[in-house]
Parts: sequence; C-alpha cells; structure tokens
Amino acid sequence: MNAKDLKQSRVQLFRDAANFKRTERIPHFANVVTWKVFDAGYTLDQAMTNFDVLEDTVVKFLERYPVDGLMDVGIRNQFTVTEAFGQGGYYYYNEEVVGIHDHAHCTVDTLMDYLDDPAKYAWEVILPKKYGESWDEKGLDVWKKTFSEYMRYVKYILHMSSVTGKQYGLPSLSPNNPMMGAIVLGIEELFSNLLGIQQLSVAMRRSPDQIEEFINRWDAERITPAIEKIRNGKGPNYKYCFDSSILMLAHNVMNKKQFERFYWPHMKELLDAYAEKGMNVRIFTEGSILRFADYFKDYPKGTLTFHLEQDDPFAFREALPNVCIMGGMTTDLLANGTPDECVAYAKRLCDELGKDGGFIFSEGKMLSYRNDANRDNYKAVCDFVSSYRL
Amino acid sequence: MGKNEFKSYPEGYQKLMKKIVPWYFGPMREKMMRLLLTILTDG
Repeated sequence: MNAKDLKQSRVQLFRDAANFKRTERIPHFANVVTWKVFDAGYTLDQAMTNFDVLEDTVVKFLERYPVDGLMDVGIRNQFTVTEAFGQGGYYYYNEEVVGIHDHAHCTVDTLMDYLDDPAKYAWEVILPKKYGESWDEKGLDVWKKTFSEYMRYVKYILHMSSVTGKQYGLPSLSPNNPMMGAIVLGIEELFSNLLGIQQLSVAMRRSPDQIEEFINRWDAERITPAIEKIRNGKGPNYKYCFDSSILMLAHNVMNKKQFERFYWPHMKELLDAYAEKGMNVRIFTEGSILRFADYFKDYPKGTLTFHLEQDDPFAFREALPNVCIMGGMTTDLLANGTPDECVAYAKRLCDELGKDGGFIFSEGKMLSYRNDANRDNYKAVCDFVSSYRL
Repeated sequence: MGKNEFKSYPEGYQKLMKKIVPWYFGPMREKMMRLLLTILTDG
C-alpha cells in the first residue's frame, strides 16, 4: 500500500473505532512526546533546538514502532523562537526534562483589559513584565532574528507534516491548526495562561462573578463564532482522525458546583454542535474525568472519544458506554513490567474494550521522560497491537 | 543590544509589524504577528 492509501486507511480505522464500528484490528495512536528523543540516543538539550535531530528522532521512532498515529511529530516546542528573543521563557529544558513554570498574565482585576485588546495587553503588560529590563533592549535586530526563527519553525512544521504523511502514511490527529483557530474554552485559558492554577482556584471562590463575566465574554467572542462555523460546515472531515481535539485540564481543580457554573454550559454548547453534525471529537482529559461522567452520558455513540490519563478504562466504560476510549496503556507497566506482562495487558484492553468498536489503543500519559517506558516493552506492545486480529 | 523603539502601542507595534512582516498584507500580516506574539507571551 502506498503512503497516501495507508494514511487514508488509518483515518478510516480511527473513525470506525470512534464510531463504535467493529474493526479488524485496534488502531494505535502513540502518545509519545519527548521519550522518543532518549530512545533515539539523544538527550533533550541536543534535540530541542536542532530540527535535524528532532526529525531523526521521529524517523527512528516510526522505523522501529508500527503505530498508526503519533501525538508529536517533533514540532511541539518552539524553543528556537523564544531563545532568539532572549532569556525569560516559561518553558525550559535540560538534558532530561522539558517543563513549564506556572505563570499568570493577569490578575482578576485586569482580565477585562486583556479581553479589550489582547495585543495591546501583551505589548504593554505581559512582555515588559516577562522580559524585565531586557524588554527595553529588544531592537530591530532581535525582532528580525526572532521572526526569521519563527518562519524557519513554520517551514519545519510543514516539512515534518510531509515526512510523516507522504513517507510514512501517518495521518494528523485533527484540524486544530492555530491558523484556523484552535478551540480553547475561556476557563482553560484562565487556568493555563491568564490566571494560572493558584489564582484561578482562589478566584473561583472569592470572585466568581468576575470569572463568570470573563468566561461569558471570551466564549461569546471566540467559541460562539466557532460553533456557527461548525453548524454551517460540511460535517466530518476525513482528512483527519478527528474533527476536533480539545484539552480538558482545569476541571481537576473544580468541584461539581464550579464545574456546572464555569465549565459545563460552554462545553455543552460546543459538543452539542459537533453531535448535531455527526462529527468525532477527541477530548484529552488530563488528570481524572470520571467524577464528571454524568454530564456526558447522553451523547450518541460516535460523538465523543475521551483520551484518558489517570482514569481506569474499565471503570470508565461502565460509567460511559457511549464514549469511545483512547488510552489504557499505563506508563507504570511500560516502565516496570516485562514484555509479556505488557502484552497481556494490551490484549485485555483490546479484547474487553475494543471488540465492538469504541476503543483506540494509546498511552494514558504522554511518554516524555526517559523512564516512562522500557523500549523492549514498548516494542513488544506496538508489535502486538499492530498484528492482533480481533 | 539595540534599543526597543517599538514599545508604544499601537504605533510602535504597527511600525514593527511592517518592518518584520513586510511581504504579507492586511489580515495575514496581522495574523502572523499575533501568532508570533502568542509564542513570545505564552512560550
């Protein structure tokens, strides 16, 4: 099969699984990020700003492991751009770790200033605060160098899309291209960037009206137009494994009352639009989602696929039989088990969760650190899943 | 190091955008600048 046909057959396999159709085999979307750097014999500091090395890690991974999709094709981190601008980025790396410092662009009192004009706020508040005194020294030469790195990064993304798609028949996860407008709910933006974990947790208790006002305005300006676009669109786009990929993380710091006020109304409106159009949505539920399962129980099979991180997949299937499960394989087992133990668990996942569709094999946690998986275990699992016939 | 002569908004911002994104016009130029800004603020 040529790469183009292979790519399309893989998309069909993911779509069939998401739509609870019986498939000949279970598709495997590898949730592998920086682990593949170590697996290819590099350390992170050798790879993060070297596109040739990053490409090599992806190629080596795809040559060794027979997977149907790959979460990161070496393009997740933009260190070349931020480093060209100078010291002070929130993301950092060393030989073994890529991390991010918790940060907050706003206080509760400045959230509306941000919404009034995000570019103005970034220019006058965020960048001067983030870069301190060096902001005064960002002359034209620094900006030109940074923009040049940005363009090089964009070209690299296109190049890697070509390498993975045209050479290896690897489909893209979803059309969440930032140029097309990635969908981020207001509450998640508050959690990740604008207030940070600590401020948001406090603000939901002390300033709930201000949080609600922000979320309502954010979603009216950003989510409502996206919903209109979905409703006026053609429905599923089989160029991708899913029609949308959404991240849920902020729910982890909420109780049910807060979830009902700040999260669910906005999420529901979005998911309802996807359901009406018969589209497949993947939601990466970082942390645990099981205690909020009831909110999702009325969606028809085929709408939702939950990529589980910490939840037990068998308990999740009991709670939400209408939702396709992505994930299941634990890094604990991949790191500490034997190849036989790993394959036995992979078989159980496929047999019990995927017999009638509704299951996509993946790793719950993003494989990031050196010890997130033993390579012999991972190889045994990939070989098993790709060849196992239901 | 140079001096940041683009600190004012919107004048400095617009002036910089025209200097570093010269071959795009209108909304595309604005979009490219916004994406760069997102990387620099969030990254």
